[in-house]
Amino acid sequence: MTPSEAMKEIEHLKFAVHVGLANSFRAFLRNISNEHSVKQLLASAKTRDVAQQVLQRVLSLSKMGVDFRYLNRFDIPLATYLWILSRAHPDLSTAGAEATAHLPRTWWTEQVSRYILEEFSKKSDTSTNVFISGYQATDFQNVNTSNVAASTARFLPEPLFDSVSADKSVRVSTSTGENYVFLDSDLGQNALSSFDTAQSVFVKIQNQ
Amino acid sequence: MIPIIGEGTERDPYAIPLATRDGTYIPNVRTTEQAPEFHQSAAEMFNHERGNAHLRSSTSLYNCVGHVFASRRTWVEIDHLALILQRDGYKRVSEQKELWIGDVIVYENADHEMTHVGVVVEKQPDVEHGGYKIYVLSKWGQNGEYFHQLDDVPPLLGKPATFWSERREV
Repeated sequence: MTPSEAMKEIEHLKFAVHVGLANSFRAFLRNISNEHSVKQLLASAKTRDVAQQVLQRVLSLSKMGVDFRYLNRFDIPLATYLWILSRAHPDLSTAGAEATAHLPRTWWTEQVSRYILEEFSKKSDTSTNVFISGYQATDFQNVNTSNVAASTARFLPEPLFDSVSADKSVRVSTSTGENYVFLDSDLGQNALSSFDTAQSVFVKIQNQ
Repeated sequence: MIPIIGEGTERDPYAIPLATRDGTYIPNVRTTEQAPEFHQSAAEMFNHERGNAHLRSSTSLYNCVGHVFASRRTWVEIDHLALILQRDGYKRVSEQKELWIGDVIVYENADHEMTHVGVVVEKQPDVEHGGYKIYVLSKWGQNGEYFHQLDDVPPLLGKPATFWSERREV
């Protein structure tokens, strides 16, 4: 089973119905971990390329419209992808969880996201290093990177970091190894030139 | 990520006031309904796989514990079931033949973890095999509420393991 086939199966309603036979969060995690398609995708996601495909799918699904009368149609696939990422590449799962944690009308996704981010915050110390291209690197204590991935229009996977012009991007590295790149265009035309500190970049990003 | 402090507790606006007989609060969360296509797909799937089980209602607003102990009003994690049985004064029923209408069936998986709960709604003599046929009403996770024979549930919900009752003898 290819990763694409596994993802197609995971997004099928039958998958949701089947693993939705859970009466607790623990049972839900047990259910998804025993699914053949999940085992296949988890094995494939050990390679970073596939894991990044999964993360991209999380980011795409998290931007889809929601019918507020009902649970998000992709609640269970999103939760499943996040769980797979958390097992294969925890650094990527954090980025995914930040994008999904506050999605409306989710149930399992919200719980998996929270679990991942709580684990992340436990492992993370208070120091976050913020580097801004073209500006002096600055250390901040207690800088909140929550929702950075969710609040930017474009999140770039790590291999693409070098494809972005350094003077047109903001790079953020956390002390636990997560790296983010934000494009100048995401922040508004010439927005970066108006920033004088890394702190203000965060303020701008979070106010987007 | 801002942790949700006290989710499911008395201070959570998405929870309802729910307590055991002795007043112990039961954590619960009111969820959002699944879309009609989800329930349609579930109904077709279980009609095919569990033809003898009859769908009573399609909703994801409550789960099995919420069905039995919260009058179908909210979702209560199965992890709270042991506490509810204890605080509500339930006693073990040792044999299946002693079950009566209103008693509770607890299902467990191979690791002896509680996975599901249902309520006995019908008891018929089983002339062919001796003993009784026990019929149960139970809610299958986010899927529908079903009327089914004691052990006729999807494998993910486990197998009937223990029987409980709060009946008082005179």
